[in-house]
Amino acid sequence: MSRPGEQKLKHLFQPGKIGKFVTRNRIKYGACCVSNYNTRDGFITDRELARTKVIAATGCGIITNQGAYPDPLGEGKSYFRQLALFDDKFLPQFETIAGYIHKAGGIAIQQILHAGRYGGIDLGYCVQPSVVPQTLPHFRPPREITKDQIRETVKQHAEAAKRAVRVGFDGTEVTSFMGYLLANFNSKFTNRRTDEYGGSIENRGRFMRELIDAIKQATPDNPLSVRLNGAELMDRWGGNTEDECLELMQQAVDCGVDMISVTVGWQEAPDSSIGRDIPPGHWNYLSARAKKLFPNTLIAFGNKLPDPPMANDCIANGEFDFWEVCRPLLADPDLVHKAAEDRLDEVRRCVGSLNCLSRLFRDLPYTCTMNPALGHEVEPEYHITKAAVKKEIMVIGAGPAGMECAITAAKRGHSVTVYERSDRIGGALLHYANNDLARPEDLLSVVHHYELMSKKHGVQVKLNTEANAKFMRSVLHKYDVAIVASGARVDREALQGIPGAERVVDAMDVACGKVKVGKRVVVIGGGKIGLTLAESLQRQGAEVTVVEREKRIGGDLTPAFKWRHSQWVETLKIATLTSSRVGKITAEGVTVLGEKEGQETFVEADTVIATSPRKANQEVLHEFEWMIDELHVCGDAVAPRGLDQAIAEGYRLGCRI
Amino acid sequence: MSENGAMASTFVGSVGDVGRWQVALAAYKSTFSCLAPGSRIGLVVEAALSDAGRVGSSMLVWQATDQGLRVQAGNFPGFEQTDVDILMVADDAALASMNDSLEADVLATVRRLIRDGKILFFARKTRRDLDNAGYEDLLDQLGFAFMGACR
Repeated sequence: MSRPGEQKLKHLFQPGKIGKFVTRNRIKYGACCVSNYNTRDGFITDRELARTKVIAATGCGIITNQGAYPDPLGEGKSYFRQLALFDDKFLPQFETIAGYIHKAGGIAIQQILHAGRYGGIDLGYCVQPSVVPQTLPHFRPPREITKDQIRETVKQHAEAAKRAVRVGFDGTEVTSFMGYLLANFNSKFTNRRTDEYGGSIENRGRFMRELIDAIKQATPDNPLSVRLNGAELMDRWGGNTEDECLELMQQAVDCGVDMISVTVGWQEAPDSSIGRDIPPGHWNYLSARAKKLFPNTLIAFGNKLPDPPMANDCIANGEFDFWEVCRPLLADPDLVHKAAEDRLDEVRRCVGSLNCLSRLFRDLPYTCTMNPALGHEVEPEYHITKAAVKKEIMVIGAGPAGMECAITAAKRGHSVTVYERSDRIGGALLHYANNDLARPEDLLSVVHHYELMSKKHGVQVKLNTEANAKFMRSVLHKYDVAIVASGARVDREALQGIPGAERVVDAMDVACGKVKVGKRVVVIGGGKIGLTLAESLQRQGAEVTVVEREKRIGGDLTPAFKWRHSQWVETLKIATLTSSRVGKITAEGVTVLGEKEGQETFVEADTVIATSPRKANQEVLHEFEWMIDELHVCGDAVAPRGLDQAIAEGYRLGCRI
Repeated sequence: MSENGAMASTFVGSVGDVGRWQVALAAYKSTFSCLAPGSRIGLVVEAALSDAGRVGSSMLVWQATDQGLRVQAGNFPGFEQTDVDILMVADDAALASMNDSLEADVLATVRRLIRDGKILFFARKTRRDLDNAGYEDLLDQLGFAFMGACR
């Protein structure tokens, strides 16, 4: 413990022990997300290996490699490009991964994941203890698993564990949580069997116990971790209570597991568990209960627990033994090192956008809003390398795209100056974050990060400076490169055909507090900006009506947040008029036209806010064309989209210049 | 005759009155018009899950036909045997709420009850199949967490 942060967080950075292995700290990289980077038939790709090398180097004491399905048929396969471990032919790459982890000083654990109810992705069906149809139609229709299949599945898990250990993994982990196969047996919701595998909790846990026994026998010298729900959040569907979850943990403990990893929620749970709307530390009580009941078994936990100091306190308080962390390390792979070096202020925080998870449900590889290099580690174009030629760079706009580009370019050795017409870094994000109904501080952390890192990397930021043509003439020949990252705005010209359009106020002016709204508000546009503003204003006491041209609101939201916004709109009782457009605006209100001829609604309104259509701020591009050697554009200034693309494009451009 | 040969009755156990449901759902002609003929949505009471297969375990079925939506009654044969695309399971209180709002905006009530967890929702087809059968608008209107990833 020689680094300053290790002294401060001494409980987190103290060595631990799992089985016969000593860990350098109490941090376990959790296999929370499958990457979907591999081949369709389960082979690990170079992309995955490059990604895993980064994971190995995170500094965690234990590294859990993502879940591999154990059966040749693929009934356990839940994700399109999930890795497989049912045959020796897959082993060379697993051996490489174990090598990466050991070389970096970690203990290597291989997770075995039979997805049960969420499996059979290529088969058109899934297997479960009983036929209980899906609550989410993303998944496949169920078939009841037979006793012969149960025996075969247990054997397959044990063989997969043996394979993992044979190529160098120190231990294994099985997934009895989240709605996967073991959890399906454990839960009253999905287990309606009448044989010895169903009914009582003793019977429901039998499959898990048999599986644990089989793996322990197959790999007697290697630790086994079991991931178990502390809460399924499926109570409404007849799932297990929290007390029953503890009883199942007891069964696992009695079978001699080395570690219980406590988790929260099933994939299909109707309540949030890890999104931005759940405060950090919300679920810690579940691990505290487990640790109290099972003092002699290692407990790992990390759901919605993103902060090392909080984890340190939990370990000190005896709430768990290992901090199990994944998503915060997707956002910032250097999180542990920064904590150890007492540089926590530099951490790029996970903002809970759930981009990672949402993409998996579209059968896409996972990405991260905050880490644009995630999944591109194998591509040199995404690496921050020393610039071949040092350039003088000006960036126009201090929003996420501009700041990401500026900081990345500065890291490469360029000299960078950012010009921002407002008085603060952050662009549109700053103002919309303040209106976020979930947790404004999460989104605001992005702004704080840019403020800090621009200083640390010597980026000059000149606020209250509008970079127009006149300004460009004043700095002619000073810069080699100009980056236009000036964002987007409401396209007021597109609204000109509406009688009374001059009464419309701009969403950004409302978001930043420049314009105060009246009691009755109409918001034009039900996308993420419109809904965010509508929710914020309604919460502040306004009566808001959203008018949206499309059939549904939230068309530009990720699936995870579409669901949340729909719920907020409903809870807050915000009126929505879809398939509708504004026909006329007067001092009294807005005439809204429906799809059908003559379909009109009058909505009383004191303020009418336009959030759409939006257009890119590209005017300066043409003017600058003959004033500078290199001219680039990124983020919403290319086309209005949002934070993910702004950060990704800013980073890529910063790496390239 | 209806599902599993049970005689259609005017009043289906505790699920409700077929005639009143028929009239209530007729008000949503445009919502159901996208459904492919043959599409079927079932509504059962929670108790029917444990009573599955017994005569009298009633299920209300909304079936899309060329002539529009037809409400039928039948026996709930259990998860494995039933041939509806979507199954809604309501507790007694939810059922009472729906029956009370049959003359008002019943789908708004259904949406609220789904949101409150008083009606459970099962899909017996994959999302692609449901899309192809024209369910997207209806499920959106009912507030179904269609894409998952709600965590």
